[in-house]
Amino acid sequence: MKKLITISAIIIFAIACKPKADIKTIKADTMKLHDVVMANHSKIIDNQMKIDTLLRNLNDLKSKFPAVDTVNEKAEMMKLLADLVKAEESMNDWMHNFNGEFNSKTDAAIFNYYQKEHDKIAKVDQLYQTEIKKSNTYLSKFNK
Amino acid sequence: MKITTLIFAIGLTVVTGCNDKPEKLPYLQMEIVDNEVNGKITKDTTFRTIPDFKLYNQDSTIVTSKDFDNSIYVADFFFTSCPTICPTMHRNLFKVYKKFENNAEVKYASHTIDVKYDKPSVMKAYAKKMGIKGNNWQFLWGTRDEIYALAERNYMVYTKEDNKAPGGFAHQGYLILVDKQKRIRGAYDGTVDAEVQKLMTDMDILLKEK
Repeated sequence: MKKLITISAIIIFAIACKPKADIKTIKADTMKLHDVVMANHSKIIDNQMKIDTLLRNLNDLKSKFPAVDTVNEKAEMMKLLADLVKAEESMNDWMHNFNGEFNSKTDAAIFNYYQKEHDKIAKVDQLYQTEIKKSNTYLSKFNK
Repeated sequence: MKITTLIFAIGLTVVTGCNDKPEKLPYLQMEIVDNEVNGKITKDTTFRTIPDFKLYNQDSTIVTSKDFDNSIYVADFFFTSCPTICPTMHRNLFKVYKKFENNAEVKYASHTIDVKYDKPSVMKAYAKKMGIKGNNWQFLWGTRDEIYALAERNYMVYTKEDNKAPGGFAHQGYLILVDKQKRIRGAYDGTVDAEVQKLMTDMDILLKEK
């Protein structure tokens, strides 16, 4: 009987503690991902600034690269810039809405909150990587 | 015996005196440039300085580089909604602030990189929550181009050259120590206690510098 009580107590303890450990892990993973995205944030801004500069100096671009069609290039740059800004906004939205001290009555609810936030920031991470690659490729055409 | 003791004491004083040479912090952005004098090229050492700037603080008041004249200061880049590095860095910087609270020669310049959201009113609330009083610690706001230019071309040049540092210069938690002539004299990881202790020691050294 004593054995049964002990085993039951261990099982109850293990079940009760598991979500807490999971919450800690998912929260830490979310924060880690946030830092990865922030490390790329400067690049997103940097490329926006480079495209801004090119747009302001289309005449210089034409003189350095006479073959370019500035009307087409301008349209492409505007599109790239809009995409970079959209990516930046998605990160800003995530940060401003994220609650690092989220609390709830149940551990399951807390876990779900951080899991959802983790999935959201993972999407932002993907978007950042795509936009950085796309804009880097474009800027390299003009040695930027 | 007495003479021997005296000679030893004098020797010890001389040795101690020699070691008493004031410590000096390095210059992180020192450059050797060619200088032409009467047709002759000579090497000259120059120190890069933080250029003039004009930004807004948490009271929506204009703050310029002149407001940091005759002071040493610690600069950093942050954003109020940051859930990871920035809170730790600012908690540590607050310890520095408390240590030098009554020293008018010590100032702080925290630049927000989230210029769309961190308007002066948001930073005012942030400063109040941290317990910052007076205007020795300025929370600075400017346009995206102004802030990133200051970070990339001036304050963070050193950290960008550091291969160990990950990408995202503005989110590394660096605290940059600037002297009274606006020269960078130290860069410290604001999230590491030992580095913040070193910053405080270095600030003491810098304050003694003539």
